[in-house]
Amino acid sequence: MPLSVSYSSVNTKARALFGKLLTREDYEELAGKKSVTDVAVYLKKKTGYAGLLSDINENTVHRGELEKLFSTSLYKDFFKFLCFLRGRPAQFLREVLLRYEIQDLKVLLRITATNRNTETVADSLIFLKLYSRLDYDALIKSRDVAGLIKNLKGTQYYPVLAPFADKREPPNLFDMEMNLDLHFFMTILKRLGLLLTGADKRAVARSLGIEIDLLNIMWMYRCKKLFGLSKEVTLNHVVPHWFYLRREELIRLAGSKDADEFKELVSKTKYAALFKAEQESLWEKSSEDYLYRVYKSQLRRDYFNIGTMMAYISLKEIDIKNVITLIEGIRYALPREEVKSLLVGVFR
Amino acid sequence: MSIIKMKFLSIVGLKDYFDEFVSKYLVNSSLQLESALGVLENIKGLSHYEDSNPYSDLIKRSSSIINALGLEKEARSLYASRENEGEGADEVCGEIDLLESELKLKTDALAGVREQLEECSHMHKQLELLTGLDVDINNFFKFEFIKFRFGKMPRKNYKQLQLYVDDLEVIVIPLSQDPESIWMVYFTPRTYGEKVDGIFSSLHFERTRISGELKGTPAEALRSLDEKLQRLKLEEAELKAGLESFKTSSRERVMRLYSCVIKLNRIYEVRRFAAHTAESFYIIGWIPQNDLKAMMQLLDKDDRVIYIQEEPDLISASQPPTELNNNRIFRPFEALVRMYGLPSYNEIDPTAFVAITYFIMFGLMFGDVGQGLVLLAGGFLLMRLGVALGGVIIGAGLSSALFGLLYGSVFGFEEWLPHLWLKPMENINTMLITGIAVGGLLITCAMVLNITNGIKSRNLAQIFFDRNGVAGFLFYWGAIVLAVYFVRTGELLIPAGLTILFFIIPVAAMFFKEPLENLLHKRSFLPREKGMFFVQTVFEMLDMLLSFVSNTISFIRLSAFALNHAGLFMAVFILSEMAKGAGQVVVIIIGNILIIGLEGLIVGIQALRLEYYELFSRFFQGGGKPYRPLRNQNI
Repeated sequence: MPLSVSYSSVNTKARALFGKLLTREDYEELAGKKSVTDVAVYLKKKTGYAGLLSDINENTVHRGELEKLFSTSLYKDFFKFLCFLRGRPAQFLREVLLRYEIQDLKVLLRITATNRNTETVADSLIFLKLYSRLDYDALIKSRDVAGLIKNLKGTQYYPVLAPFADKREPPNLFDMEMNLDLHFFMTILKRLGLLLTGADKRAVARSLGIEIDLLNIMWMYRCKKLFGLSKEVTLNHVVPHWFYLRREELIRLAGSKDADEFKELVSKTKYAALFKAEQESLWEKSSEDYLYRVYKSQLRRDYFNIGTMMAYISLKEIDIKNVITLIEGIRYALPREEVKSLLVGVFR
Repeated sequence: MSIIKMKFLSIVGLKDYFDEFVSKYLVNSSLQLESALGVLENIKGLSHYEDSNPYSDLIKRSSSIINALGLEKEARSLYASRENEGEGADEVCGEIDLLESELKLKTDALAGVREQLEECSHMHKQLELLTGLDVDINNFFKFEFIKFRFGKMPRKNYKQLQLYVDDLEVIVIPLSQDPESIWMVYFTPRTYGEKVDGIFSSLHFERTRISGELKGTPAEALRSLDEKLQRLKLEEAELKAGLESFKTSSRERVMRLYSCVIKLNRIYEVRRFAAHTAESFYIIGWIPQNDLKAMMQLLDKDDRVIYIQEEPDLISASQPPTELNNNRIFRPFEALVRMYGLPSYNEIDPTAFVAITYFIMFGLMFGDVGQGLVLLAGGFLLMRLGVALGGVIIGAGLSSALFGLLYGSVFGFEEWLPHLWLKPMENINTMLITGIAVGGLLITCAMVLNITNGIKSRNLAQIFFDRNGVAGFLFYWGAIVLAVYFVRTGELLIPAGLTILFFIIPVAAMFFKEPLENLLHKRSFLPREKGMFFVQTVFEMLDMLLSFVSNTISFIRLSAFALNHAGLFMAVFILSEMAKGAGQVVVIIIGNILIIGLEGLIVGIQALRLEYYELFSRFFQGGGKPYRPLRNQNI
C-alpha cells in the first residue's frame, strides 16, 4: 500500500486550501460588520471565498443562500481531493461523504415528520440533490415518514429506519436521527478498519475517536440532566466506541444517579478540563474548541498520511459553521464580543 | 501507407430531412464529425442545434437491463442496426418499460424466496440447540419462571448491548450472524421480563415466533423445517432457471432495443456537431478515402442533399485525424508509438521503424536461444489473453532467440551451441564498437526520417537548417569520417574543401536557423534581442555537439547489456557450483527465471528508452489526433 499511495499532492492541496480559510484577522474584521451585506462584501472582496461568491449580489443575499454556497464548496473540495487519490484511500474518502448525505436525510425526515411542505427545503438539500446516489426526486415527494422510509428501500438506510416505518405510532424523530448518526459512526469505523492501514488508520481513528467521545459525553449528560434516564437506556443512546474515554468510565458515566454525580465522574476522565465550567452551555463550545485544536495539530503533523486532508475537511466545516454563526449573530444584533465568543477555535 | 488517407466531406441538406438522413446514411458510417460552426465560422445565420441529450434516460435504463442480463460483452461489440428504421424513441421507451417490469417481476420473486430461505436457515440454527429435548416446543413458552425469546438484533445495537449486558438480568446466546444483524436467543426471569423486553425492543430486537410456525418436539420441528428448506431451495432453483431462460429468450429483443438506443444516441451526437440555418443543415467531417466512394454513390442517389469533398491540404480550420494501418507483424508495435504520441496526419508513421529497430536492439542486448523461446511462448500466451503488448514480446523473444544463435548461448550455457558470429565475453571490444556503430546508423536513419517529414510538410527550415536536417546530417557524418580516419591512420584529415562542406556550412546553417527561417517567411531577419539570441544559440550549439556525441555513445548500452547478460550467468554458474547435486539444477533454474524476469524487463525498457529519447526526439512530433468514426461510438 505505501508504495502505491502518495499523499504529497493531496496534502499540499489540503494545505493550500487551508490557507484560503478565514483567519483570526478576518473574523476580527467581520465581527465588527453591521449587516449581512457588509459581511458578504468583505467575504467577496478580501477572502478565499471570493471565487465562490463572485456570482452573488451582496445587496440581496441572505443566509440560506450563503449556507448553500458554502456547503457546495465543501463538497467540491471533496471531489478535488478525489482527483488526487486512488484505491482504498479514495474509497474511504467517498465513505466520509455519508455524513453529509445523512445530514440532508435528517433535515428531510424532520420536514416530513412535521408534515410541512418539502418544497421549502428542496433547494437546501444540496448533497442529496447533486451528489447522492439516492433518488432525490422520489424522496422529496414523500408525503410522510413512512413514505420516505419506503422510498429508501434498497439503500443502506432502509434497515436502519425500517423499524420506524410503522404508521400507527407517531414518528419518533429523535430515535430516528440517533440511529442514523449511529449508523454513520459505525459504518465509518468499520470502513476505517477495512480500508486504511498504519499511520492513516491511526490518524483518522484518533480524531474520529475524540469526536465520538465528546459526543457521547454530551449525549449522556443530557440523558441524565434532562430526562433522568436509566443506565441501560442512556447507553442505548451512545455510540459503542471509545478512544481516550475508557469503557468502564463510559459505563460508569451512564450509570450515574444524577447530573451532579455525572459532573464528578467526568472530572476524573481525560476530558475533565473541557467540562469543568459551571454553566453547561459552555461545554459544547469548549469541546468544539478542543476538536478544532486536534484538527489543527493534525493538519501539521500528519503530513505523510491521510490525516492532513481529513483535518482540512473538518476545519473547513468549522469555518463554514463559524461564518454562519457570525451572520446570524449580526442579523440578531448581538454585541460584538458575544459574537466573537461563539466562534469555534478562532479566539481563545 | 501506414497512415490512412482522409478526405474532408461537407454535406448540406434540407433541415426537415436531418433525422432521416442521419439514420439512413451516417449512423454506421466511418465519418468523423467536426464541429460545423468551428469550421464554417464566417457563414452568417448558422447556429447550433440546442438541446440536451433527450436519450440519456433511455441509455441508462437500457444499459442497466443489459447489465442485469449479463450481456455487456455482446453489447460492446454491437453496431447500430439499420433494419428497424421506423422505430422512434417512444416505441423504444415503451418496450424498455415492458422489459423492465418483466425483469423486475422475476428478480423480485427470486429475492423473496432467498429472503425466506435465509430466515429458515437462521431458524434452523436456533432449533438445533434444542434437538436433544423431548418436549413440545409450545411448552417452552409456558415456563413458570423463565422467559425466552428467539430473534435478531442489528449489529450496532448488539454492540451497545454489550456495554451493559453483564449487569442486566438476562443471558444472551448469539447463534448466527449475517452482515446486518446478530441472531440470538435470550433468557430472563419472568419477574424481570417486562423490563428486559422493553430494553431489547428499544435496541430493535426483532422476535421470531417459532411457536406459531412449528409444532411438536424440536426434532420433529427440525424435520419439517428441513422439508421447507428443501422446498424453498427447489423453488429458488426453478426461479433461477426461469431467469436464465428469460435471458436467452429476450436476448434478441434486448439487443435490438439497445442498438436502437445506440442509434438514437448517435443521431443526437451528429446533432451536437452539426449546424443549421433556417432551411438547411450542415454536417462536416473526415472520412477515409477508401470509404468515400461508397458514400459518394449513396449521396449521389439522394437528391435532397448535396456534398463537397476536399483534399486535406486545403482545409486549414481542422487537422485530419490519424488512423494507423500497419500489417499484422508491425501492428503490435503501434502500442509503443501510441505511448509516445500519435503521429499527426502528414507525418511518417514510425511504427515500422520502431518494429525493426526494437527487434534488433532487444536481440543485441538479450541474446539467448532458450530464454528467447520462453519469451516467445509468454508473448503468445499474453496475446491469447488479449494483452496488446503480447505481440511486442513475441518480437522480442524471436529476436532474442536469433541473436542467441549468433552468440551461441542457450539458457546461459555458452558451450552447447557453436556461435555463428562471436561470443560477447571473448570479444568485448568488438561488441562495444558494434554497439556504437549500430547507434550511429540508427541516428542517421532518424535524421533521414526527419528530412522526409520536412519534405512532407514542406518545411524548408526543417529539411536544411535543423540539427536533424541536412546540415546536421553532413556535420554528423563529417565528424564520423574524421574520427574513423584518425583512429585508423593516426592522422587528422583536413583538406580545406571538406572542412568547409562538412563543418563550417552546416554549423553556420544550424546557428542561423531561426533568422534563416524568418527570412523564408519574410519576417525581420534577426530577433529583437540580439545579445540574448547569440548567447542562447551558442549554448544550443554546444548542447548539440555534446548530444551528438552522447547520443551516439549512449548506444554502447546495446553491447554493455549483452556483456551484462553473460556476466549475470557467470554469477549464476558460480552459485550453482557452490550447491550440491540437485541443488545445482535448482540454482540454475531459479537464476534463469530471475534473469528472464529482471534483465528481460530492464532490456525491454532500455530499448524503449533508446527509441524514445535517442531516436524519436530527432524526428517525431506526435501531435496527431485520434480517429474516432461515428460507427465506433457506443454508449
